[in-house]
Amino acid sequence: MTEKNPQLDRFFEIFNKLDKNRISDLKEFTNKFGINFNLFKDGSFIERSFPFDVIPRIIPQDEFKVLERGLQQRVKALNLFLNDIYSDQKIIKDGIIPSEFVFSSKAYRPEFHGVKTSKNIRTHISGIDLVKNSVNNRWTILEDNLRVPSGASYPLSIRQAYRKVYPEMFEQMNIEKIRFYPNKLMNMMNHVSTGGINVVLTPGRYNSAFYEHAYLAKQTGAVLAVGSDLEVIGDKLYLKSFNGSKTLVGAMYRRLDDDFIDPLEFHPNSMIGVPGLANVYRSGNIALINSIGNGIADDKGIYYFVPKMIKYYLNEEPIIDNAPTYLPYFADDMKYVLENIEKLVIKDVAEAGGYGVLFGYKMSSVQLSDLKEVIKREPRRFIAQELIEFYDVECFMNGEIVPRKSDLRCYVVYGEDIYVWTNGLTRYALESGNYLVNSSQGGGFKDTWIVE
Amino acid sequence: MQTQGKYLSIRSADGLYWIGRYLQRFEIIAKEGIKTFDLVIDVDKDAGKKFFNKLGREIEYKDSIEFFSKTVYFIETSNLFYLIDQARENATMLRDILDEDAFMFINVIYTALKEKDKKNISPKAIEELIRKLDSFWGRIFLKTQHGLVQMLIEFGQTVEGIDMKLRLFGDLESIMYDIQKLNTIGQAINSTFSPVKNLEGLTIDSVIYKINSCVNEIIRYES
Repeated sequence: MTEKNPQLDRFFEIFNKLDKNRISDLKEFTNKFGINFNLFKDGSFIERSFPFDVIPRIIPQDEFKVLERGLQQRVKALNLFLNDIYSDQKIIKDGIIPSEFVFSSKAYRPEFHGVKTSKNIRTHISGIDLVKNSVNNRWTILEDNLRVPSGASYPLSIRQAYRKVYPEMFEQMNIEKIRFYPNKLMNMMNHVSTGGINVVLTPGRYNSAFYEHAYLAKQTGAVLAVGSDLEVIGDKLYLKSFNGSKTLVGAMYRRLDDDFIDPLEFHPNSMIGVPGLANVYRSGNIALINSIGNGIADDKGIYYFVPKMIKYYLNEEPIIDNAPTYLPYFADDMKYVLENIEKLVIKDVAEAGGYGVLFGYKMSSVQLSDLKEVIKREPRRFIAQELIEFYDVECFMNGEIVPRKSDLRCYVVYGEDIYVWTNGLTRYALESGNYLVNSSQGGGFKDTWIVE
Repeated sequence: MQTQGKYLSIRSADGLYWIGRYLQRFEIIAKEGIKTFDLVIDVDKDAGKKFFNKLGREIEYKDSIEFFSKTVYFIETSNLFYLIDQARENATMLRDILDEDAFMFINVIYTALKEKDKKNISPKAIEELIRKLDSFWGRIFLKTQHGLVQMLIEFGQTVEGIDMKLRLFGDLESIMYDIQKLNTIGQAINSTFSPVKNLEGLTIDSVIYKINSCVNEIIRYES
């Protein structure tokens, strides 16, 4: 079922009058400029353009305003939660979240307990994934990404081309501008910087999102660095400049997970991190964007408690819904999950990027029975969610308009204020009926227009 | 806002230098390859062998088409596709500091070569790509603000130009202007750069070695 709104009708009114050959200009742009989201398939690196669909997702401005408030509220609460978890842990002491949910999570980093972050900000950049429920017509949050959410560069890049290829759209429709994002990012880095230059740390050329790392570094004026470009001296971090000098780094937008950022502290075989970086962070001599240990707040098990966090920290009702979620950890929920498993979506809390997601209706009775056993054995490892019927988006494929499942990742930048970017990454499944839209699962993307 | 290219890591400076080198080598082998192709047709069947021997490579071919195909795709580490691939790898890593259109020109040349029929590549197609490369050089050097990024690419280009001229033509006289240019850029990048001079009496190999070592005065690899 696709969603209709007058703004989308207006888009088609204009689009249908225009030469369809213009679409190839957009495709040519992504090829020429190498706008890639690379894939690893069967152990091989595949460099590929990120599939792009010409029909934007259109969200009416008044609807987005609600999202904006809801996302600000959510990110504010998640930041408070992280500050609390790494200090007093009041939310546990007050019985809002069972301690097991925090302490058993691999993403919780007790060795960083008590470490203060610059300006008390930990969720500098959040990517919140949402879908619009076609039954109740409300937006629903599927998950929070508070570690290294990727994707913002793609709509930024394509918008640039879109304006050149379809200027009529921007003249005739009141579409929110999106170009402020890099500026917000830069201002945020400057705001939290402990003094020194800003750096974007990339795992390197063979990372799926390398294009994005380079793009965001360029747009924000930060230096793009790999681990070997940097050196810890004492308790400070420096860029090793080509002329032999060392330049102090004050803020690092790191695009690699905690496990890999410092081989002395985390994965000892990591070749892509910076030895000693964790200690610089501990000493308060660098702002890490995002902070170490944020994974505890976007753990799929913790997701269940976010509405409770909002009430606890902000004394407010959540503005945006969570998907109906069950925790087998609780006896009642376990009973419900086991009895209704065939109609639920089961998620392994340790996985991300669309991996570890099982759809009950797609599984055989033997598989379901095996899964039940694993859930009974390891209740903390899984969450179960009702399968949400969400709106399809219209895509232009092989000359015709077809419906596809899609979600929306909204980006929130927490600096001097909490800024919700008036855009986002709309991801869609390439195949009909597929619910998995993740880029790492081969999905495509669309531009997202917030229209008055 | 930090000025792009103001803080360059060793890796970035090295990458820029090698973009200049690979692209210059691409251009020279492409142009000389086209001239040699013409000789192989009906003037001197062995012209292709002589050409690559000067570059320390051996090549076998039955006719001009096969010679050209090997020049573009198959001659070990000196074929055009390899060279543009290497340039593109460096450019990809440096997209944060490289002009977007400059990256695009390299990417377009790479993609065009990747998609062509490897056995029947024509000199005409390569001439077209040389024009694209001209656009790249134009994009780099005609910028009003000639910063470190441009200078490091130009430094690499100049080193490679001298290196190739010496290997192909073995004539010290022909590189004097390039040496002057190398010294000017070297000093602009690093004021302590020692100018290359007193080449008289040196063998060609010694000069090549000296020129190739210059980069160590620009980029402090050991730090």
